[in-house]
Amino acid sequence: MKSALFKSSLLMLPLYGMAAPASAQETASETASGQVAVTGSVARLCILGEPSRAVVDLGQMVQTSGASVGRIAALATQSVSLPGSFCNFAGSVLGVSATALLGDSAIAPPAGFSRAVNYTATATGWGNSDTAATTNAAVDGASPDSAATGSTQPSPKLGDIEVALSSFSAPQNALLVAGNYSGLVTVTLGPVPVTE
Amino acid sequence: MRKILLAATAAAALSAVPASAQSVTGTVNITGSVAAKCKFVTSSQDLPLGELADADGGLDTTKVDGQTRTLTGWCNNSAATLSVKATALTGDQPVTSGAEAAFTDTVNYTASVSANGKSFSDISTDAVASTAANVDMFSGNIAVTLGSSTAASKKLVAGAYTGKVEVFLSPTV
Repeated sequence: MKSALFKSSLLMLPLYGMAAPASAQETASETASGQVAVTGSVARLCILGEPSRAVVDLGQMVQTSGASVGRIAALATQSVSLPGSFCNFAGSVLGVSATALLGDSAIAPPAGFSRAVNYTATATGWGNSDTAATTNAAVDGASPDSAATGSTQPSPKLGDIEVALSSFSAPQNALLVAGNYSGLVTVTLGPVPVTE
Repeated sequence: MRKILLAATAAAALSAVPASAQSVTGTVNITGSVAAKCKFVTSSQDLPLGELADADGGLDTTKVDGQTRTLTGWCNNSAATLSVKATALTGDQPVTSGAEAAFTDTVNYTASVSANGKSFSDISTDAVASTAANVDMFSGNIAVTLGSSTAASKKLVAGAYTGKVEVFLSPTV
């Protein structure tokens, strides 16, 4: 038994000596820390608000009496709002494209008549300036499209975009062919196009 | 007479045996110590949340709340404490030029930590860790769960977002 105790003591002493350097490396007051790295992303996003008017009906567009009967009347400016439009990144741009109002009669209008009504579509509320597209269709409706790109919006933005349709006119102030007329305004919101 | 003398001699010899066997004792005192320590076995985890925004550009809280990762570690002292520090998710594109009213680049949340049957938490709106609370001696999982996420009812600016939850184990108070 004594022999066993003696061996045990001999073993313990070297172990005690080996433990000392370890405790010098890891002090009793050592604080441990762990970490969970949390990451996510948000994609670039632009949203146009629901238009306040899905259809803009100009009604009767020509004068029905007077010296200019049959020619386009002085049509009031029409406004459409796109509330709550936003882009969540810097460097977005507003685009407006407009197609002239064209009569549903496909027959080429005779001299003095027009089947096209031009106008200017102006969008405000984005970038540092207005964005305006003015159509310049011919009397027969040729080349009805026009487009414009606004200035760059330098920061993320949430706001209302107002679109005004104004300056309605017939090419050469010609008489308008009877029929139903329809045009289209398209508003685009997105990143600044990259040119190569 | 001679017989009597022999008997006396034998008796004397027997009584001398106990006196010569008296024992002595030597002692080797053995000591050691174990320092109070805490260690993380799994000290780091990644928690990618993916796209944070919903279709309307606001925070999709389902992408954050309930997300969890588990660290592992141990403390060998009953006085051991644990504290948590949650750091908000912050985007890499700052919100400036008056856009602050509608947009934010910050997602705050509450980090809940469960270890040794005890719960701890910290909210990311401040820059300080929670008060250290006793976690006792333990060895096992340290579960980190996110919850109560918010973008202050604002839309999130586009970009990459990073945040972190730090867990501190201290072997003594």
